Amino acid sequence: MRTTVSFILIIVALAFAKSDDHSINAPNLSPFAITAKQIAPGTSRIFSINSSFANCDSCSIPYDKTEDLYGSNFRFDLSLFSCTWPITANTKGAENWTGHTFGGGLFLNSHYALPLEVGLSPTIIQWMGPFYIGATYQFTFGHYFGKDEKNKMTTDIKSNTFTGTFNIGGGAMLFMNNHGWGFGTHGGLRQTRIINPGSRAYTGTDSRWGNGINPQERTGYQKDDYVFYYGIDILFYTNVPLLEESNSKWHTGLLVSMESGIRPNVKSTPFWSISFSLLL
Amino acid sequence: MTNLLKYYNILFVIIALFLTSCSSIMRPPPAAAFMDSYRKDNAVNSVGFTYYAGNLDNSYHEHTSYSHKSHAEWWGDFTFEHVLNSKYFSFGFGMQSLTPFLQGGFVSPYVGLTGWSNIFAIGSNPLRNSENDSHLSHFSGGGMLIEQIPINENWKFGLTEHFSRNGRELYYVDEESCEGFSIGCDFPRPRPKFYKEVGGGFFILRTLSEAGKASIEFRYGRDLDEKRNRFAITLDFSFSSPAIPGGNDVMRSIAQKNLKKMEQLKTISADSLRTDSTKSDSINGLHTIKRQWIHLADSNQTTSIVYKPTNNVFAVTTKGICYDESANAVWLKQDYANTIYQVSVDSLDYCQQMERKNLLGSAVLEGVLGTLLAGLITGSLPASIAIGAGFGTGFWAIFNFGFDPEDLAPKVYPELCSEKHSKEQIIEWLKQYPCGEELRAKHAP
Repeated sequence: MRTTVSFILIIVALAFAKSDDHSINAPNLSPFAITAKQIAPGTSRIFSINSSFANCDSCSIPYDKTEDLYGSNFRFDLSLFSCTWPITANTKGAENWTGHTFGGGLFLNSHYALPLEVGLSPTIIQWMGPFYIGATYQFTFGHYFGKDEKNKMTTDIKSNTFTGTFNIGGGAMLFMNNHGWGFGTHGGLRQTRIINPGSRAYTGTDSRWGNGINPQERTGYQKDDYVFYYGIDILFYTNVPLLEESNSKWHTGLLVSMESGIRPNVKSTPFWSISFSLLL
Repeated sequence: MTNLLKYYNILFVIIALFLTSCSSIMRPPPAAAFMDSYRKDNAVNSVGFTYYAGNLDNSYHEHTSYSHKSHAEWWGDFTFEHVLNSKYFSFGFGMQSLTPFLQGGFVSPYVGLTGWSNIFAIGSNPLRNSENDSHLSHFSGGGMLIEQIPINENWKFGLTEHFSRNGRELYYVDEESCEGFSIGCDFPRPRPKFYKEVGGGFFILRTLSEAGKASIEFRYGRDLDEKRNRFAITLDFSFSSPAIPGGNDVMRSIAQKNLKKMEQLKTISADSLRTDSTKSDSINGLHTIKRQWIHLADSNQTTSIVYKPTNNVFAVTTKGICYDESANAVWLKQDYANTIYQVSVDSLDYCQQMERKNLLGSAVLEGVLGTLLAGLITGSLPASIAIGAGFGTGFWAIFNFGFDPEDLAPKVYPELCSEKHSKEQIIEWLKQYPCGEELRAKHAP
């Protein structure tokens, strides 16, 4: 497991190298939907890591006319509470178990995002056959740091922000019980928020050496955006009644889910995210 | 659970590598292998070669004042695909020459409806951020309707109709050199040129053996953008093999190994001895102990995970034990699951109490990774060190306080179970844990 976590952290860390601002996004609905479906019976805990990016092309900001904004977020999620319906009769699994046709769930999810952001997200999911709909609202409190004239994070410039973002959507999944693979797609509308707590930038150039001079502080900004997105999901799960024979305590699921914002005629994707979730 | 988590390591890496591939040039994949996957528990692996003919866009150079493009559309492609099936749904993934792709859809003996896409378009491409690349601009994919007629047991005939957005090859001659860290820049790299195509065709599939099939497929496509006619002839061989294991596959394979052992072992389900199902550690007739190492004569005597601190030592852990003096045997509880199995007193020895694997190394590693990650995000050394320290400490705290230490991975070291005890000592030790009546009654002959 240590290898896996290390590998994922390195991958997402590399992807973060160019980020400028912070972005705030409500969590992906897919892991909650799979837990509500109870395709891996008995699962109630969700652990996730998620990396996401939000872009805004030519957005107007206070100190400049327009600018391309680029925010990122890397977070860990842990579900604190889950209540799914109906009650799963056999949490040890069953042959040909395809989950609850009209399963649903209420969840309370918590997250921590780098460097200092925490949040709570109540989430509701309802399945109708192979389809589900869901909604979540994330309350976020973050202490964000700005960047100095050398584009390094500085503790001189900071702001506290309490805010919220929503995510509503739906999806469908197909389960291959003979193998324990699930494939799905989902989509919806999410609110993304790009936050810049302020920065310091050079306002002139040294005529002799060409260095930047006269650094001045710039006001921060928050940009809200509403993005339609789609996602694909690949699920690895167990539900056959072989816990004792396979020396397992409970059934599990592993979900890889990717989301991408949809907006025609823009040069960069407005939103992109990848998350790895372990369902126990 | 532990076995499954080990498998996750490989799975994570495979999925991540697959998602990060970047070629976008793709034509419709062969239809016969997809249809052949219907109702197969094994996967269908397809290896095919396609020859392209007709009015191809090649042997032509395009010069402008600032660019030189070579139109050199390929005349052939190799396709490798792994198709999994569950009833009327099949899902495949593979490579068409340089392009990783996904395929999925409805499948039945007579009709199939499938869609496919290159991975890059739906995965990595949205990350691109330049004037030339907008969302899904690198999408190669489409849909195909397939009708299949089984002629007899060995022969099938099928018709296909498709609509797709294909990619074809275009080379930028004397293009800009590679910048930064890049691999394979010195090789000519085809760039995608996309076009919409509508067309149809037919295929003939022949059964060669129980697992092997061969098919030949002809396809016509009309390029709607440049009004070209293209033809494709595919020779495809497919064979069945175990599918890339999903969760239930992994579970079955682990269970299969233990089931063979369980035929030789005397076992009881712990649940059958419980009167209070809310107390998972309480099993009537069995003593609950601190997790203990037990040295067994060989690995066939247990369904628990076997550790080998040295070559000739087979050690397992248990939290439940009892000694049945009349049977000269010991009952041990499986380490993670709920089976109780019997081992002869002559085949075991008692060892040390289990110690949890030291968390320091893992905490330091996570701390270093957290520091690197924070460094990339914040660009500030003090902040990175603070966040890294938080990562390491948080990791240590979660595992130290958030989990039962006896449920974490055990520390395995060479001295483990190296001390041997005499039979008298073993019996003396076992007498602390006599079996209760419930267990003896349960297993009475």
